[in-house]
Amino acid sequence: MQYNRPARNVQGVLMSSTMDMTDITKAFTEASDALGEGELVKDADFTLFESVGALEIMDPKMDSGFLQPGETLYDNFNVSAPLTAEQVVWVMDELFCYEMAWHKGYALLETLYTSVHLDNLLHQELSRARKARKATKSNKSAKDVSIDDVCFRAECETDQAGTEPTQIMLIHLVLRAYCLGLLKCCDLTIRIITSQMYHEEEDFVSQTFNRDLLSEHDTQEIYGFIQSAYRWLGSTGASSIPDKVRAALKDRLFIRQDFLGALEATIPDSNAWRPNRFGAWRDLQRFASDVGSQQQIGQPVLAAFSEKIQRRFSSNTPPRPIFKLTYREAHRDFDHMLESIGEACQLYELPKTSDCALSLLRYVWAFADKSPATLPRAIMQTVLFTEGQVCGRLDFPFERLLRIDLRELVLAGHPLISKSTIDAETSSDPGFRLRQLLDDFIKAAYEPYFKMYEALCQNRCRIRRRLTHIIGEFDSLQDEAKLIDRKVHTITTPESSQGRWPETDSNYPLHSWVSHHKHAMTQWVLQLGFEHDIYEPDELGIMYSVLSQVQAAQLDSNLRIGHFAKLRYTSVPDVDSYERVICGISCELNTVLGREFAVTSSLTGLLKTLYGFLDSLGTLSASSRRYGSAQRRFELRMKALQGCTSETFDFDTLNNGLRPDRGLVDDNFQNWNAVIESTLKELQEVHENISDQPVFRSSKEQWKKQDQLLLETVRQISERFRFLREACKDAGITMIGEGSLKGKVDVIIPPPGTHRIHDWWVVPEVIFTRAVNDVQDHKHSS
Amino acid sequence: MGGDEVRSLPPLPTTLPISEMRALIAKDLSEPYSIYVYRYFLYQWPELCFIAIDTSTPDYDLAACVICKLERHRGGPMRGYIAMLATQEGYRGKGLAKTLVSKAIDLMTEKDADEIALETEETNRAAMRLYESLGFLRSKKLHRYYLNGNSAYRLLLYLKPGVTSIPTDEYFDPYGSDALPPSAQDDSTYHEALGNYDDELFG
Repeated sequence: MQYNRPARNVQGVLMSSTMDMTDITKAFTEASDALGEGELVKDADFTLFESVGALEIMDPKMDSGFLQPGETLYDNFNVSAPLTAEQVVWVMDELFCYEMAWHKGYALLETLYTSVHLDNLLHQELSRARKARKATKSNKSAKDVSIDDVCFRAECETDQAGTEPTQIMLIHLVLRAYCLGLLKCCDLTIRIITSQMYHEEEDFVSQTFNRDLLSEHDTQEIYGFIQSAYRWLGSTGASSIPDKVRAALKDRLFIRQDFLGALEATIPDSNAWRPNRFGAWRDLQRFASDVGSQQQIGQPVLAAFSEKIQRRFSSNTPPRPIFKLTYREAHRDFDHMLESIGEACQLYELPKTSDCALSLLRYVWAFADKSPATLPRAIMQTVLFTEGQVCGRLDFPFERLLRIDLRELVLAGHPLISKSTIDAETSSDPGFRLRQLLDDFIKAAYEPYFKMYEALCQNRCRIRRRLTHIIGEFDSLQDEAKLIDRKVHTITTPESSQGRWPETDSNYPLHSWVSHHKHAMTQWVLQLGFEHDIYEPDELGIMYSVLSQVQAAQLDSNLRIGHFAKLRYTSVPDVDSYERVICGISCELNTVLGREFAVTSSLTGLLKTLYGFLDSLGTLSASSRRYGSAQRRFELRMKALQGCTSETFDFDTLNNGLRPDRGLVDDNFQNWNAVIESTLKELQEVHENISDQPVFRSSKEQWKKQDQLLLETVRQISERFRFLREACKDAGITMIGEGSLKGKVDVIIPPPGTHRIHDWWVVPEVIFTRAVNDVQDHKHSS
Repeated sequence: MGGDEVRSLPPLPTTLPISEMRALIAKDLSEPYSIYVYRYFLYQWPELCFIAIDTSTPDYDLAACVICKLERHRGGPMRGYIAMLATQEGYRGKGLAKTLVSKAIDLMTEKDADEIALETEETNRAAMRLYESLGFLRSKKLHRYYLNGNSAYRLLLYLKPGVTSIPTDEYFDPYGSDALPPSAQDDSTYHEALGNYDDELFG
């Protein structure tokens, strides 16, 4: 296609005395004419990314500056135009909806920047900042260019002579205060999120497109505006506004002010006075939730928002579709966000949680399980990683958490942390050398350990992806741990103390510690795979087999750790000593872990059996796949666990292990029933008779919830077995491996979310095929 | 569709009905790709583009198309990538997409590909069924991968044994990733993810 472009004297337009320019139009046209159609001229660095980033000028879908004939770049909405109080409420609610959409991960351009009011204020802020810079340069006072300049200014001032004073105040005081508060909230949100690990575009778009969201202004200044607006609403000047509407305006200002305050108190590097942060968020949640449930009373002013505004921003992306949530959705998201932030900040109130590394890790997982939004995840990182202040505790560096973790799991009562080691002063002292060795290990373990916590503060998909990397780092650390363990062993096992550790050869505490965390992460990666619904129905059995293998390794390592913990406990001579208490806690912790591993291992075993049995009945066979093979697919699956080199996952072994033992169906059912019964019993007892040590206290509630879910899961599995027993009886199948239920029974894998009791434990639905047809017929007829 | 034909086009890009292909792929697209995205693929891997045309229509209407590439993934395995796939509305449900993708996989296999990758929207069951019936697996979920806020799955197919142990240039990467997402992975839905990076690629 040819375009007839108007001839233009390029040199005449662009030449200046300081530039040396050459008009390449002719050369360019000639060169491009010599190219064949479709020929691409590019250098080696031109990648797909560059090609995707290219925009076509004059294509309305890509060129944000393109105007249709007769179209204008501006909508004619006058920001100074009077609005009724109900309309102001509506504008505030719309802004709130856009703000929540932004929190969800959409760009400012496609959310808040569609507001004509915000656009106007941001424009004033831009000129204010410019003026202030000029004033500073010319050494003039910047006093006159304060935030007072950031007010609504219409392009051409309208005559407001006939406007009611109330209406002027509603715009220039109330709405303006709300907007300033909102912009400052955005500024603080960006500061909090970008100070931590997050994924730009994926979690959150921090880009402000060259606008300054009042970053130069102090929160207190903004407070002042909100408070004046609040006061005015209570004064006689606002008495003409109906009570209900006035209350709605006040509520919105109140929420804005509290949100701003809570954000300010949560800023990691702020010196602001920090009142009860947890309380601030919790109170805000209560109040916002009340307001969110009230009926909406706003009256729309549609022209106050315009899709066109984004066209004036320089952006390297095509115009984006506007994204908006409904008022209900926005409040639901806000509520969820505040609840998660509350949970993160609650750690400030629960110092005992961080006394036990395991409790803290469990707490962070429970937080992550609810898929919190980006802001709460950033705040959780602030709580955990603020330098030297884990959970807001003074003089509590993150490294201490690592030391606690080591102590409670593997080192309680060990010479590596004994008093004589800590006190050793001379380099000839063996304790001195031990301390050095432990420090070496801490140095090596710090980063992977830190990353493990950091990973849990990412979105669910990233948690899985990051953990696959971190498993590899722990794997490498394991060799180093073993080396240090050996050196420790030679120091701590002179002739005289040989009797103390009769099995020292297998006592590698640091190695065991690394192994514990590595196996835990490997399990999480597998479990998140179930949660993300990446496995196909006929893979579920083998994936539970893989999980089962990892759990067996974990249990094995736990038994070893527990054995040595007990030995050390009994060898502490003074029964009233601190060391004895520490050893006691470590023993109990390892016992609890052992019980937990055993019970989840039983549950995995049950699912493995169920899928194996379903497969043997011919109900899981997938339709043939044209390419690849089962081995190749398994190889792909194991890529996520590639970092865990200590385990070998053999497809044939695992696959063969899935087949139920040959024999009578009834005998097998009896065996499986026995396993179900014992698993239920294990689950009821797993967290019973645990001491009231503070380190356990904070976990008790979570245990209760978790155990309940697992109990329900086992009961559901039991139902499936019962159903299959009946189905086998109906079909006359008495021997395992003889006969099929294909065509008689259908297996449906429930998707994650609301259809599973727990997303990590996929219990298939099993129904008679006839029932499926009935359901489909029913759907059809309705 | 007795009149349909699946043709591997000669390598000369001048014969590809780019504007029709572009129109077909961009149909359900809120933000289209620039012509350079199409040129990028078609100029470098014209042989990996397959189209189905309806010879019973006078203008040989375009019924379906698939656009792919094949290159070494970060100095490691030879990775095929299915970038775009679309079927015209009236031609759906006849297995055209499956035939075209199979043709592409066959040619990639012939050209010594170790693996084939693609992305598809998490809600796009039809695309997943199609690819999974060919042997692909969902290897990971990508949070909010597309600009419309939807998440995606990366699907992978290994064509040879030992692909996981082929070393790549960079930092150990248990998954591997193409990270560049212009996927039109289905007959009905097509989404884009401009500027969506992958940590595995950019560290």
